[in-house]
Amino acid sequence: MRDEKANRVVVITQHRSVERHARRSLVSAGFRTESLSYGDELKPLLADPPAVWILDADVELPRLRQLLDRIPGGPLTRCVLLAYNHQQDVTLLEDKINNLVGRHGGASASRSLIDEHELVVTCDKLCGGEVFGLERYLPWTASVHDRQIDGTRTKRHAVGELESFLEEIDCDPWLQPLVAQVADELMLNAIFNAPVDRRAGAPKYRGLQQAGELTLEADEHVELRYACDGRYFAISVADRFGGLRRSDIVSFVGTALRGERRRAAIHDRRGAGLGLFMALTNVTQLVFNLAPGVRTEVIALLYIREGVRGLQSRGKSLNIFSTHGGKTPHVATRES
Amino acid sequence: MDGCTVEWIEGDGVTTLQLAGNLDELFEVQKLPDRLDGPVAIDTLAVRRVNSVGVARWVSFLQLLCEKAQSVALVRCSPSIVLQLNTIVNFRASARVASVAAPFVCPDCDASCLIEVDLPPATSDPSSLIRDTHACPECGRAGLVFNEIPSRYFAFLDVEGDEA
Repeated sequence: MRDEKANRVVVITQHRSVERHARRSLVSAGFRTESLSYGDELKPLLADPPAVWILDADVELPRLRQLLDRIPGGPLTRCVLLAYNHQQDVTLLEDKINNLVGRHGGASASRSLIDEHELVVTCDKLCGGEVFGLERYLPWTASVHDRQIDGTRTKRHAVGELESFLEEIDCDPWLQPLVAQVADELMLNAIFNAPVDRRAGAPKYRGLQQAGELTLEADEHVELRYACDGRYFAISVADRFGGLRRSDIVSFVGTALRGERRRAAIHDRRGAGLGLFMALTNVTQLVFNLAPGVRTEVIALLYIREGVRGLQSRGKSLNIFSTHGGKTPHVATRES
Repeated sequence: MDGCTVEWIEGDGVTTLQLAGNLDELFEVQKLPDRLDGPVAIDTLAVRRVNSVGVARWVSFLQLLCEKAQSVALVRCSPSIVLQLNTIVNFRASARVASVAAPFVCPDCDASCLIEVDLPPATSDPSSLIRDTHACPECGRAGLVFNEIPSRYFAFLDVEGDEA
């Protein structure tokens, strides 16, 4: 059980419906929740800040930036930008915020629709709860499949197994290749970009994607896990190096969040960019759990309940969590 | 199926290149025939999945083919290929997209199917391409519904011509 202070969440929104929605979810999950409007006096809160700030994204950008600048702890303090519309300015991601929770229901929805479970899990992780594991995003009934990947051959075999599972659960046939592609890209990224030559401290296989087959050393294996609850298909890919940096994520996903198209990077020796970009294009939620130098886990969730159309109309969320020594730091660091 | 099978078929003055499987790290940039006199059509209906390594190899291959052939058209593009057309700027090189396979769903029995949609040159209104009058292949009910967002599925049409 968290103590009272570590449990305190403030929701800042102009919309009573958003406040009610967030309060209902958070109070039910045991959070002490307060609400403010953007025009309210902030001084008492700044003197005694909450554990998590939840800011409704439906406000003019300068006003949002002004508020972010006043929050103690500076950039990347524990702030959740709620009901974020991926058509909005994503520059906030670059230096201000780690957690963008998507506005679901599409651009035509008359009010913000929040995925309650996503909001609660995000706040819990920011308040010191367990960061790693796709189980956090699914109910306990979802059975998790687990595979060790030792190179490109086992990657293809694992993607084949995943495709069989998608067929077994009668997933929409046009969603199946999208889900499989996300798993494929996340594994390619982990296989080719994560392993580091420990002595030289340099990436070992980066830029070798075009060379074809690769077999990893025993201590470089990648872990693939996946599960489905009927609403979401969740895929987790973890490596044992923890080399993925926040700055890399921001540069890879910024263009995808803005809905931009990207030129195929045939000779891009960094390699990871195109794959992560292709993965994010198709996902509903993308979660990066970073334990620098120890472990990186990327979790992708795809909304599969309403076919391709449902997936495409859903908002996109991006969450970056950093841990140090297994604990979430009060202020997430910006690795450079 | 691992990798991608490639078959060259000659006929009616058109060389058709039929691809089936996955465009991934096993996709080899094909050696082109010594002579390519007429137009070339690439049929990608049976391409199921594409990954980033496959994208890079595909673009290299297609650029070579577009340089050598009189003209290149992509026909019956599978949903995976359409996704790449909408995601990757230079995915079609200078080829023209002549037709796509569009995903439809039956509102009655939830069955899915693909229906070929021709893209006349200078098509500008994506919703005009989709007619919800087809019958379900499983239950026979008329009125299959397009299982995508027209402006999104055909977004590549907006930039056709800018890329070549």
